[in-house]
Parts: sequence; structure tokens; C-alpha cells
Amino acid sequence: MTTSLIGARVPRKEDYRFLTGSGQYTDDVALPGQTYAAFVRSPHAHANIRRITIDSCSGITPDLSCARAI
Amino acid sequence: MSLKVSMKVNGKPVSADIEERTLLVSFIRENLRLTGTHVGCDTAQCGACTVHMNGKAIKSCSIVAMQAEGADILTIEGVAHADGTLHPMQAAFKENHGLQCGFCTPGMVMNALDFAKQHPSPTEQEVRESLEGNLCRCTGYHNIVKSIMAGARAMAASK
Repeated sequence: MTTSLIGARVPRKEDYRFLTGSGQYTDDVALPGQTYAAFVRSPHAHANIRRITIDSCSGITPDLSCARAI
Repeated sequence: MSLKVSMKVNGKPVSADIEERTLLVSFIRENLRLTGTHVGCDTAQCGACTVHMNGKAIKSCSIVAMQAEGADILTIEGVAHADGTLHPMQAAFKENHGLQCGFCTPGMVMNALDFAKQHPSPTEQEVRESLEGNLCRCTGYHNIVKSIMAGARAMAASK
């Protein structure tokens, strides 16, 4: 009889790292110059958008930028 | 203002200059780069940040690092044996499929270790009650309960 995986208990390969704290989740990544994105959403549940100004965030950090999308 | 904080983490003396408001979990994750301790909710509800402080399970997001000055801290990275062999509680989680995505697992294991020390032969009800402060968003509670019961028995047997 050939070995079959169907119906068999298959040990998971990822368990060891998760159980020892060596898994790497997104928030565990630390790269040189790493930065974070922040999304600003409307604080109003129902409103008309007339304009979006991004001037206030430009210039805080020269290498970072703001983008807007509707 | 920054100040110096010193403690023992996983048996190793550590110290760093940190801001007074630094949470213990931030100190562990960011200063020591021990990222096995997780921040799930930041509000002391989920238990993903559970570590041992002087032998007792605590939520490291609910105290500032300064409060652990001079303390003995154990994180998930310090639980397995030095040769990499899993602790009986970790092994029980593996054998009983007590984890899926693994995010809550370090907190579950740290809490279970403290619980099992006090309940060497727990009932299912006691295990379920012990999980009050640990959330699993995969909702794998059934196997977590099985794992903790098996882990507690294995710990009691190995004494």
C-alpha cells in the first residue's frame, strides 16, 4: 500500500517558530529607514468632500510624502 | 526625558535608556527586539503580550517598563530548552493543533504555564476560565483547551 496524505494527520511545519516566538509578522519587521503609512479617512459619516489639503503634512519629513485619493 | 531601566530578561541582564512612558511590551519588542511577545489590542484585553514577571503571568502592555525595574522577566523566547527542544506546554500545543495563525500563541503559552503551575491537573472548566484574558481570533479555543490540559499533565508528570 502506498503512503497517502489523504485523511492523515500532517504535522505543521510552521508551528515550531510560532511556539518559540520566532515567527515574523508584519509588525515584527525592522528594516533600515523603515517608515509607516497612515491613512486619514473622513471623520464624518455623511458629508460632501469639497477639497482635501495635504499642505500641512508636507515638509515635516522631506523624504516622505503625502498622497490623496477620493 | 529618558531614564535608565535594568532588568533580567530570559536570564540575561539587560538595560536601556528609555522614555518614562515606554510600556514594558514596547521595551521588549523595540529595545530588545524580542518580537515573539505581540501587541494585539493595546488595551489589556487580548493577552497576546503576556509575559512572566517574577514568575507570574502579566500583560506587558498594561505596565510601563519602569515598573519592571530589577524584575525577572520571561518571554516566549526563553521558554524552550537551550538546545531548542520545546517545553512540554509548547509541545502540547503542537501535538493538539492548538495554534493556527500563531499570533495569540505566545500569550496563550505564557498564561498556560503560570496556570499549570497552580493547577497540575485542571478540569476543562478551569482551563476555559483561565482563558478569560486571552483572545484567539482564529477561534481555536477547543484545541487550545485540549493543549493546556495535556501540557499541564505533562508538566506535572515531568516534575
